[in-house]
Amino acid sequence: MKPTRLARAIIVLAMTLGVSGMTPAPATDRLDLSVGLKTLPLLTSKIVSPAVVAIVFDPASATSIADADAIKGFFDEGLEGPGGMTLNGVLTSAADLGTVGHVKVIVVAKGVGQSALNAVAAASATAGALSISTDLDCVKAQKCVLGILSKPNVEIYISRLAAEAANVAFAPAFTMLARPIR
Amino acid sequence: MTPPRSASSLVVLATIAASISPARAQSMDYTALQALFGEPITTSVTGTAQRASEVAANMTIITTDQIRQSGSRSIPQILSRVPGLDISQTTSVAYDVGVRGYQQQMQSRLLVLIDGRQVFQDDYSRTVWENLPVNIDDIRQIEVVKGPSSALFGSNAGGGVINIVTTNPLYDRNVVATMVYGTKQTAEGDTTASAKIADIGGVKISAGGMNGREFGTPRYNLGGVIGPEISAAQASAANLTPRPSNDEYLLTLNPSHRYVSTTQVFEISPAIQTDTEFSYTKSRSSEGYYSGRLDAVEDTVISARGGFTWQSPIGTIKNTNYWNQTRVANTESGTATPYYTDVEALLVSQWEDQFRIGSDHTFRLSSEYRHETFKLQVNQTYPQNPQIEENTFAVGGMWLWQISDALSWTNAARLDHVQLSETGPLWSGSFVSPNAYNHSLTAESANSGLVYKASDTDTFRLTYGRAIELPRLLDYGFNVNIYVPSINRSFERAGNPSLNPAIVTNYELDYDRKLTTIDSTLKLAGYYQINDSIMVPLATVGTLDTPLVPSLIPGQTTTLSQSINAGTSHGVGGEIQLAGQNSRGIRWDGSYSLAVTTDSPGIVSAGGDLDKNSTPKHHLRLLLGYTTGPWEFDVQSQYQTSYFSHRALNVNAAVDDYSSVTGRIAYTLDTSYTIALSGTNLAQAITRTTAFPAIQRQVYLSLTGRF
Repeated sequence: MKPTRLARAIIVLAMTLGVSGMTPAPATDRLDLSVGLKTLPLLTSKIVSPAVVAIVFDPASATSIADADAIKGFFDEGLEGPGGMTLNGVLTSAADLGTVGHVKVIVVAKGVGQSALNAVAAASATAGALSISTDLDCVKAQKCVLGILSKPNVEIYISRLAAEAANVAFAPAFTMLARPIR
Repeated sequence: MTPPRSASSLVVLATIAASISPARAQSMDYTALQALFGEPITTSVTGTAQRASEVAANMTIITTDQIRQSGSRSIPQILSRVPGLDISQTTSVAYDVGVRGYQQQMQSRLLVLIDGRQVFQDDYSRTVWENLPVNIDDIRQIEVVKGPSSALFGSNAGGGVINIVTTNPLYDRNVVATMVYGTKQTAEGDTTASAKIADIGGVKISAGGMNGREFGTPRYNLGGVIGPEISAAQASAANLTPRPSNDEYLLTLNPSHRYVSTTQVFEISPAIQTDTEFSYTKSRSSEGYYSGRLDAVEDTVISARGGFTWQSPIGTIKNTNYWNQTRVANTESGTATPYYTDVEALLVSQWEDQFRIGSDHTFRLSSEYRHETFKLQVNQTYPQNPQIEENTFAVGGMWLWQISDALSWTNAARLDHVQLSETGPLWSGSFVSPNAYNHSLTAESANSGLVYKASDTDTFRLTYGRAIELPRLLDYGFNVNIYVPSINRSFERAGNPSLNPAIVTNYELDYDRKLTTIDSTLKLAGYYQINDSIMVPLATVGTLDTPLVPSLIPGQTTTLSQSINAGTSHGVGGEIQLAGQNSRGIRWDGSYSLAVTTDSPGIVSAGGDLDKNSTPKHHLRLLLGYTTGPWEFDVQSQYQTSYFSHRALNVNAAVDDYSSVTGRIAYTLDTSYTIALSGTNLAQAITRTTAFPAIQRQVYLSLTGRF
């Protein structure tokens, strides 16, 4: 047995195959949302129940409108935050996000366009709110703080720039486990 | 214009310094993170938080649910679900846990920690499992690392590491009490209460104890092969003498245990966290020793720990200091007073700095100082009780490179420098020179591991490990003379301060695949291991034809024995495991493990042969469980092939293939109270699993209240 040769071969293979693990997310479902909300206890500034969750859509994107409606439906069905936290989902367009009061969590629907994402980032920074989305384009563009994938494994992507802009900080261990946007 | 080299260097250093950020490894909320990521989280391997599936080591994490469902109040019994571990039960409460072969009494290859504090005892290099100061209901998770890991965990992680993580009072509220009653008049009670203090601190106290009766299975004198099922007639025919009835009590000491521990964690600022811990634990039990004896042992350990974590501008600085004092009183061979006592004091001071450069590189620089004293007091007529003092200085480093989202590479190295000295009374007649105790050694450890996530469901892990296994303190400082008048022969058994550490080198390839269609995970592991300088205790190293000291040791012939580095052993094997659970409350875990070891002639000729066939080659496990409403049903069955269980000096006993079944039925009332009926060795009333007395079926009824 020549383990060093074997090791070398596998390292080369692994290096060759080393590619990004990011894959497109499907439409936001209840599991995605549930995973995203489980990050709330890991914020250094605790969110007090009941809390307002803004569900943001882009009027120019039918996909985002449908996704936002579905997300609103999950809240209306009684979706709770960790520890039984009461969360009130409020639908809003990106442009009107700044008018929704007391927002501490923003859920960005899938399919929101670039200009709308800029509005999300601005409102998030103003309100000091955590923005999450299953649309990884949002976090890749450094507009959302967290990008969520729940299947087949939970993967959470974090934009440090967006987090700093929104003045959002997490428990140290969480930041080690979330994948930074490169 | 080209800047001077020194200026360039400064610019580079300044750039690196500016990009340094703390690696952020303060104590963490395991519960919230596990709920979020859907798998256990650990900081054990690199010091920083990692998902269990992403660590560069073969790690199994036993969760709170699995611990509860095991129905066991014994950690080795809980560990028995892990493929690659071999659990050997020598009495009703005493166990040894082997990892990937090399099973023997008093495992020297498996480092055991509670919340990072060493509970592995260096006197015999063993873990007294029945004397751990921990409440089973307070364990957050048990982390099992298979493979040498000295560079990551410290010396004596030659075969693997077990880190028992308890709840953190800063994050977890745990108020629980359990009462157990069972066969062998076993009565046990454990309780833990934790409380938060104004969101900046948490305190926890755990206490408990047990009493029981030792197995009633027969045992025979050390003078020959021991077979618990041997009848008196068979024993007589084999020239074995049953132990006299009046020493039966001494060797079947009824087990008892008492412990108390407290933990305090405070966040004195957003960047600084302190933690302190105190524990006291004492057990009395019959225990199998590596030399083959079954002794009555009283083991007392007092420990104190204090430290802090500071998220400083140059990284997360962590300091841990702890002190363990262990006293072992050992009664052997029918004497009423302890045959010997040993007192071991261990002081450890660890410093580390964890930091990130950019988002892809995590580093840990560490140093460790260990001061250890060991005094063995043997009841004999002439003073020769060396007091060993061991000072260890170690430095280490770890580098985790996240090459891409799919690929990471972890490297770690550690250098240990050990200085040995001796301060107790030495007998001038010993064949070991006092000067020999002024000995030092330096040993290197290393770990490297590539983790490649080939897809969302496939993960490959390629690891290399080189670890050191330091000699037992007893092997350094043991000195006993025995004169046997009937054969006019003396035996001089001495320590060997010139022993070198055993070196374990391991190459391993693992593959994990999520089988989402059947809600399962398949895990494959294969390894090849080289164990150099294996230590064989009390090997015969010479014979004198004249009395060593006629006035004291009058034997005409004197046999000289001491522990030696005897040779090399090779191990090869692997594990296959398929485990999962579905939404209907059904869970399963089936595994097969293979461990084949081959010794060099040196080990065999030294009279050791401690390794060959000392572990069952094949091991099958099957766990099935079902939860429906308030009911939980779990059953675990195991089958292992025959092996040689090492008992008396140079005397081994064959243990046939055997199977065992454990199980638990539990009912939870209004989410607070759980009543459970559980049992071990359910398939047979008596099962011979080692050369020590056969083990018996045990059944327990327990009531647990969570408040």
